[in-house]
Amino acid sequence: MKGNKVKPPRLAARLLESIIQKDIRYGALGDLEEQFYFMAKKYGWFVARLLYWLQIGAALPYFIKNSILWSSIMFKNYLRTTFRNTARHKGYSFINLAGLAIGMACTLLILLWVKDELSYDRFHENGKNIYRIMSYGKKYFTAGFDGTPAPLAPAIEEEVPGIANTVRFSDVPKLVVRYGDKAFYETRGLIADPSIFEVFTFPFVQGDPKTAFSEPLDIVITETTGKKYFGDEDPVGKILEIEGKPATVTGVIQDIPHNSHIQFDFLSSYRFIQKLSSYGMSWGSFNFVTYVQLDANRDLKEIAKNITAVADKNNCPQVKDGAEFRLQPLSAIHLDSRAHYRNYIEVGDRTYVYVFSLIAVFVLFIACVNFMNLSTARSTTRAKEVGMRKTVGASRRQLVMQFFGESLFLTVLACLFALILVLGLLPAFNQLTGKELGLNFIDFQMILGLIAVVCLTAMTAGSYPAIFLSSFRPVRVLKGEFKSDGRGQTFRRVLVVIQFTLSITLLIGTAVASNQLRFLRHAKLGFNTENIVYVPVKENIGKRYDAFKAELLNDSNILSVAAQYYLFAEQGSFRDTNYDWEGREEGQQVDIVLNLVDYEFIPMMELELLEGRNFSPEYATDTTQAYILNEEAIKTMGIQNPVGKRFSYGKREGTIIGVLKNAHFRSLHVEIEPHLFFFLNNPAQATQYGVVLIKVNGSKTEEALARIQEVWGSFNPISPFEYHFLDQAYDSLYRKEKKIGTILNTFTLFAIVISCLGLFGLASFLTEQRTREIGIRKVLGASETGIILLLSKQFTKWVLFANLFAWPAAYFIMNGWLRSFAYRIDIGIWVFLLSGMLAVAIALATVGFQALKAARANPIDSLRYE
Amino acid sequence: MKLLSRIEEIILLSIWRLGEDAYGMMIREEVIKATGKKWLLGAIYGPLGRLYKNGYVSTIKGDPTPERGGRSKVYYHLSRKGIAALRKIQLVNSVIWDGIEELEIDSK
Repeated sequence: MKGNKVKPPRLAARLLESIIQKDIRYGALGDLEEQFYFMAKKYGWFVARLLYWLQIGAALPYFIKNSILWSSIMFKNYLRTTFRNTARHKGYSFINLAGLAIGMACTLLILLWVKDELSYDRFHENGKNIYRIMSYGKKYFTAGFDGTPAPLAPAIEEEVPGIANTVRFSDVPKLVVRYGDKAFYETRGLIADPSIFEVFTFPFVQGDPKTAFSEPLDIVITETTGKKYFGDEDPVGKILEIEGKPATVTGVIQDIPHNSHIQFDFLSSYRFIQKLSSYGMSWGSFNFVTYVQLDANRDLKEIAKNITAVADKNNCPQVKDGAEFRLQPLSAIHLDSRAHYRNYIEVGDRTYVYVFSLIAVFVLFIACVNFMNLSTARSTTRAKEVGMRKTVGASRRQLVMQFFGESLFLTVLACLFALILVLGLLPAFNQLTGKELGLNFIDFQMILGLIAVVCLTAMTAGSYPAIFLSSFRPVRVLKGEFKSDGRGQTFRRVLVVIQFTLSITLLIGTAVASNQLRFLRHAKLGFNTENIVYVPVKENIGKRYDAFKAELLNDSNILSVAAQYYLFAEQGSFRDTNYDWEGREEGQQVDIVLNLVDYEFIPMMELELLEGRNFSPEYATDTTQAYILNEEAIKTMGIQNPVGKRFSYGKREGTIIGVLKNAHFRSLHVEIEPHLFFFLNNPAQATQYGVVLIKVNGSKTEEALARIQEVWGSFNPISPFEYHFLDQAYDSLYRKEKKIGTILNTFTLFAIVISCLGLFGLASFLTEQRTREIGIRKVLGASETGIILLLSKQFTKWVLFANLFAWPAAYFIMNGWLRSFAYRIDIGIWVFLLSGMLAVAIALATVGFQALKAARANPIDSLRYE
Repeated sequence: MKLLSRIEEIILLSIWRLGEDAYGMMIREEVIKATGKKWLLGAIYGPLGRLYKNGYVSTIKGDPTPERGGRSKVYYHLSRKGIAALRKIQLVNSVIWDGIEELEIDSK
């Protein structure tokens, strides 16, 4: 027949083959094919094909009915077996379930955290086209910095094609805000161009975004802030007193979602700055963050190049010096921002998202390994069942399905426990991470994730038992010849090694991380931070600084008082490049961090002067012409014999009077930078960021604080009293690391607990198997110690072996992590040794308990066993 | 012995009627003739498979033919159990249908 070329559709044939009952399949397929050719001859190939396909529909209902009927009967049987097995071996079932539940709970918590970290800034309508301009310097900020010069935004909006809109942000210093008798310090203020509402999506509850900033002192507040000051009153049109200046509330916006990297409580227009202060508005001071909204589908590199070109044309000194601008997509800002210079920016870290995801997989895998281990170890018990099932006609596929089903059942059960655990642990976890995570069961993604975790766990945990157990030969098994053979043993050993490799890696990681953290927090900064309290220069403090100081010093518990223009630990760095000095090469630019201090600062901080002297009232010119620099600045500028050399900042001509030894004024994330200090003549200028540092008698802190509060009250009728300790301010620079460290500790602990649970189960099972052997050994005179050693040895060996893999892995990972710090510890060998020993000790303790029990048992009972 | 479903009964009767010719295609035509409904070929294999499994019919392989993709025809025959089942059905039917002629008068 010619028609042989055209055959019935192959896919349809395959489907029919699988749904027609096996016994009559052969004939049926023949019939169907015969009919196919018959129809083809009569009506053509198309009709024949169509009809062939239709046969599936005709055969399907019966198939479905039949298969459900039969599988439900078998299903009942499987379920019963599972229940019986679970109930009979309560100990193992508990270990299995507990391990899986804890593992899944950990994984779920981490996944919630990761999901939240990845969800930042996705709610802005124009989100895809919003970018932040980042500055990349040649010497400093080579890794990028979010500051840009103030005139940049208007210039590029006009000159660079493809830029649809721009917004400039600047954070606001701590401000006293007052309404009636309510006065608070507000740190979460933000200054932005009015275009913020065009570029970003911050929906208004009241007021109109277009007219919200028509007056320079108009402000927009969040709903919560509104409640805080006005209670149930309508905030719009009310006047808030900000640092004594009246500001009109023109709008109320919804609270900022927690997963926004831009966080603020009140927002003021850009023109507010000009009223409030004299911000550096030159092309040389990078004090503003600029966001741009691009037209769709623009070439980012091209635009970035054009932006740099505009700055170059306007003689921006940093750009002349090799700095350039790049664009960072909005969605990457949260995870890829290094600096915490700005208090409105929520910083995350991409590395930790990856690390934690990895840990989640680790922990879940460790839990799965428990399941596999215990299932294969118990294979002797299950072997007879498998043999029986095979004898009465179970196919291998059915058995595989049965064991997968069993692991799925246990996983689902464990998942329920895990969910309960997660619900219980969430409040603590939220406190730990500073997030507001919640289990949302209506969330599609969440449910999908849950199903994925359950399926993944069931597949991984059930895979080996399913394949291993279903492979038994029924004849051998039923004859009783079956013993847990070498294959299973090797596999179990490999699993134990993997489990402990992961656990030890985590252990070393935790140890290194906490060491680094301790190093950061206790590193010698090069100055004293202890027993120093600071209060803001607010209200009348600046104006009547000398009186305030004198009043404080009257108290014997207050040792010294100093003023500083801003605190490094809180504000980071104010910097400039506008310097000239004796011996400066043509065009040489140095980026120096500057600060203003008074006579008391250097002695109070116990800063070491390498050359020259401190500011002194004996020299009248010190208040206007003296400069003190640090070593790094001298080195960078290349000045020989600096003391007495001419130095000027802008138009302020003067001389260098002293050189400070390098000290870590800022966090240890950054290298030591050039620093410059000059005299703070008038503390009243420092009302924005200024602090009064007060050194108190360490043993009488309480009394001193009470006195400071009293004095504060007598000077400031409005502003609330607020104080901080300097050492705590430095400590909080490592808040993120501390948080991450705690989370890491917790999950490492979980991982080890799960590993040990598994080891415990395995040990108790294997010990039980050797009950008789132990009995005989004892009868033959073996000592208890000997038996304990015998039983412990087998596991200890493998845990020791795991160190071989864990050490290099941990070294590699942690070395990479440490590289993100400018100042870091060396990973000493002892960390590895200790972690390894700890793991062995934990394993020994786990196994030893079982071994001890076995060794203590009366041999008569042991020999009667079974 | 379990009673057969209606379609199983019809298929069984068709096989009996077809005698030596009872293979899939012919069975379908016979079923269509008897019920007056268009049955798709695929739809008869469900009940047919059940009849086979429960031992009401047995099969004999014929010669391979090219139009069946090289497969043999498979002919169905009533087994002893099949014949017994049909008898049983006839008996049950005759008992419960007894007196049905009188229903016609009343129903008008």
